[in-house]
Amino acid sequence: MGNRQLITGCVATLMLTGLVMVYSNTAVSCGLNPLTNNSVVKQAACVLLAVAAIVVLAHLDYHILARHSRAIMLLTLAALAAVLVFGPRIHGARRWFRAGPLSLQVSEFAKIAVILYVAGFISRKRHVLGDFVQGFLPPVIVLAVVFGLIMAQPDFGTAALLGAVVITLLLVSGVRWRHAAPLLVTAMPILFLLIRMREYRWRRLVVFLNPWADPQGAGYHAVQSLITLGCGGLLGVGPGCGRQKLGFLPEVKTDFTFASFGQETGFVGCVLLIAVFVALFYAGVRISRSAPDLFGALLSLGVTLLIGFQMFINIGVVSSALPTKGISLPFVSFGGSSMLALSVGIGILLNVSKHCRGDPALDVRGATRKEVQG
Amino acid sequence: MVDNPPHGTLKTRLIFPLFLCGVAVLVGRLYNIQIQNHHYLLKLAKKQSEITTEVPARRGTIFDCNRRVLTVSLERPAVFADPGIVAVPARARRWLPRTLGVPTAEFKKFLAASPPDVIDDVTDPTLKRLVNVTKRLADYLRTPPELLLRRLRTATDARLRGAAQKLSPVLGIPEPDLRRALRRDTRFAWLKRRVSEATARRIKQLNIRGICVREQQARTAPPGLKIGQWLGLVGTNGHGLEGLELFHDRRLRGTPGLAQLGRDARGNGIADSAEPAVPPKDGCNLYLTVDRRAQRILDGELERTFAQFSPGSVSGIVMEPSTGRIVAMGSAPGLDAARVHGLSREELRRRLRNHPIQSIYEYGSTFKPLVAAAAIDLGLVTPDSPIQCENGRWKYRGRLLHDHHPYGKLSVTDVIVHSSNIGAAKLGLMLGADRLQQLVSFYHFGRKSGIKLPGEASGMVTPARRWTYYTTTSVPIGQEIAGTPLQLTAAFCSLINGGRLMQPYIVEAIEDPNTNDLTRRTPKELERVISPETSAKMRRILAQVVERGTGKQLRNANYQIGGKTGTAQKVNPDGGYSQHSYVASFVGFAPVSRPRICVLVLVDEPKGSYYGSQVAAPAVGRIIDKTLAILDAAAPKTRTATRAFLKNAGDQNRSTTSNRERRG
Repeated sequence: MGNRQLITGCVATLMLTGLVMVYSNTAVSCGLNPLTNNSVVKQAACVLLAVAAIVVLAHLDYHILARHSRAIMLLTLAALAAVLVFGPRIHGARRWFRAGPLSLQVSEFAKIAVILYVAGFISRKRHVLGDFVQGFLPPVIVLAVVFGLIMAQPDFGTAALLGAVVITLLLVSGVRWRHAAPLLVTAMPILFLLIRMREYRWRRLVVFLNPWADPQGAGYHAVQSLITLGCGGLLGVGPGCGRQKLGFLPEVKTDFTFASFGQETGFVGCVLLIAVFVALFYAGVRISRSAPDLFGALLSLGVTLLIGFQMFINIGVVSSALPTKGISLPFVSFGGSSMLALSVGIGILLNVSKHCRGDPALDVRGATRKEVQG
Repeated sequence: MVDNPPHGTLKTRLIFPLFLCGVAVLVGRLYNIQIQNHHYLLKLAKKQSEITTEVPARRGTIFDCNRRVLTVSLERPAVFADPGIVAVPARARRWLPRTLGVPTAEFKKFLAASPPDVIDDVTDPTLKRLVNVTKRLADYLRTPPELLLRRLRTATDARLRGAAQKLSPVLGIPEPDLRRALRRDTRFAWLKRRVSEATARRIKQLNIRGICVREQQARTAPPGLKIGQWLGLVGTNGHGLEGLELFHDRRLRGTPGLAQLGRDARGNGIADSAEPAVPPKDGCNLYLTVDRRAQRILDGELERTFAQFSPGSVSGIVMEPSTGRIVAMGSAPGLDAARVHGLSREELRRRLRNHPIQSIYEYGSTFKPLVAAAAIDLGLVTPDSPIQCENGRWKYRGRLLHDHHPYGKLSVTDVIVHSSNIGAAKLGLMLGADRLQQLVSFYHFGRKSGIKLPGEASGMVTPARRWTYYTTTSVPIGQEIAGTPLQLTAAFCSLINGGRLMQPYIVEAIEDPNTNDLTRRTPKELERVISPETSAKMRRILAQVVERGTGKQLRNANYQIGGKTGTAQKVNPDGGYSQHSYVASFVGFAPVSRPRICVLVLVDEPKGSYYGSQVAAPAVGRIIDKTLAILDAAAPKTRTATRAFLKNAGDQNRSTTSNRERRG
């Protein structure tokens, strides 16, 4: 199967799964009729919008993006700063721009912008990457600013995810370990301080180690999530039949939708869903390897890493393998911003794959190699 | 995979394997949670998401002797309210700021700055929650909360009034009462139980928030039967309060079952998730000795007598002499078991009094046959032995006894036929104090009959140590001894059924619907009071009473009736006998040769006339006529079915019904 078909199939599967899960999770609270169920309608609209974004970006030459990557970064920085000032405070955080019923979470788009910027930077300065001042520092500084702005919202999860993606991109593209290592070493105490700064982060971390110590308080999310997953067993209780979503499991629509999915489809369903992500990741890495230029390779790798890491962190949190963080499951969780931003990424990925040597439609070499291998 | 990227600087070879490793860890973690810890976590989930609810058992049905329903529990709609939400709309996000006069933008800011539970309160509001939100809002706006709270109260009061206005005509409850019920500080209040299906439909159509209809068991009796006194009541909690419902409450009630019901985090049950658990055990059914048709006849005659003589009360009992079965029982003013609701508390208490077993009276002349029977049975006299009746005035040890008419010498038969006090007193003297005392205890006077109904009185008997010479002459004429109408009826039955004192009973059989077990009751003989020969003589004597004595007006009844009148002066509260208040009674039976029913009617303080012969005897005559007529005309099918059903238990008497004896 070609990479593009694989990616399209995976993303479609995930989006449809998400739509079904949104319906399953909100049928009781928002209405049994999916046509009048607020959340289902909203999610369906987001899916349509996301498909449109994929189609548009798949046809937009990604080299145009390379040219504008710095402008996009500046715009993103401005938006991140603006949301801190003008964004309404929801659940104690300023993360959204709101216009009537629509809301936009800037940090979701910032992820793509940062990947664009880092890919552009590396591809331009590939020869000086080994140099600390010219090659390592600029992206780290930009990243630090973005990191700081996102942390100020505060949105610790997104910041951490972004950090992981950028560091991986840098390491993969030849930044020296001895440059990166001190940063990581100094980052550790800073991270620790950041965690200690906010009581709830520290509690989450401590509770993560033993959620059963306080199942009604700080450990509530983790315990409920484990109970929800555990109910599923091998084959699950059946779509729509899960009961944990009825107010027991918090954030079931968004960050903890995988737990509900696990309850209703069981271990088999979970493994299959993870397999879809693995296939997506595999296709992404393949595209990155066969990309015609470094920018395309980095870009596609960045998007792939973003989706893969986000999945990894989300499921890790849901299964209590990682401390609780507000990270959604790509394409599955309810939420338009995340879906739209990641769809932009997928569109870029598809566009890169169009230019690939491995694409049989463009390149004969791939076909001959297959023959040789066969 | 492509091995040789053109930009060979990217070191991506390890990325996918590393990712796979991470994924493997996740899958392992999921395996640990979902497969290895499945049972433990499932148990935790069930513990928090399931509630055990009681499934009510069906209360047993009470049938008459022909398997016709006397009372049954039916599912009937009942209307209840959740007063916490009637006064507030389903969603208050827009309503609340408008009501409080706070700008929407301001309110939105307030919500954004509030913890999530405030938003929860607004999206799923109750009155209490909105009051809290309003207080917080006042705090946020830095204004005193009184003004906002007053606005909230005005608005909720208006909604409440609107609801009460709509409900009032449908439920037939005055608006102020409804408003009071809806304003209560609870989450549940009954508005009206046992409403009609039409009312329930209209309530549902009104679709008022917080007003709901639920099916509920309601005790239902066929209207017009005045059986409430011994049938009793069932309280709103499903427990028996009086009569049979109380006495057999535990059996009738059954055992409620248990259902596992899913619930959400707020504790609301999930309707269709009931899982099989312990099924309820329905209550036992009671099969009574009472015949619904005979009861209707008795009710009618008691009411008629009541209307005619406006007494304090009229008691009536219809008993089967050979077994002690109660065929019908009641007193006027009666209690219609179907129309208990709507009576005032005092009225209900007055009508609930089951006079036949709960009130005691001095019997008067109806006691005389017992003394005569004892004298005959002991061979002291024969029915023809002459007794000197002293021309109506006789002084014994300083006390003057009167007869209504002056008689000279009367036979023992005539002493009863003409109800001579002097004759009866002399029979008492013949027996003597010891044997009179024995007689009284032999007939179980002063003891409960054991009919298995609550509140039975045992009566008052002069104890041996207070027994005087007077007592020996008083008891034979029915003074210084008091008992219930039921005791008298049972004693009288023993005189005419061959001398066996039968224990009266009203429950023929108890059926457990869960096992189909039928527990039958057989007639119980308490004593042998006289010989069958004496009993036959007594029947002839008592027939003479109707033939030519005090019960003459029943001479022309359809059946040959025997019986005895009684006119007793009531004892004044301050001692001595009253000249104004009487207890008039008549106890009769028919047919004379083989009595099938024995009927007592006892009228307490009749106005106008007070003679048993005039007040009580006509009613007894009509009851006997009508009751025997329907027993004779009884559809053999039902009776056969009943008998087969009861497996012929203690039914030997019924077989004698073929030997009817009718007078032309």
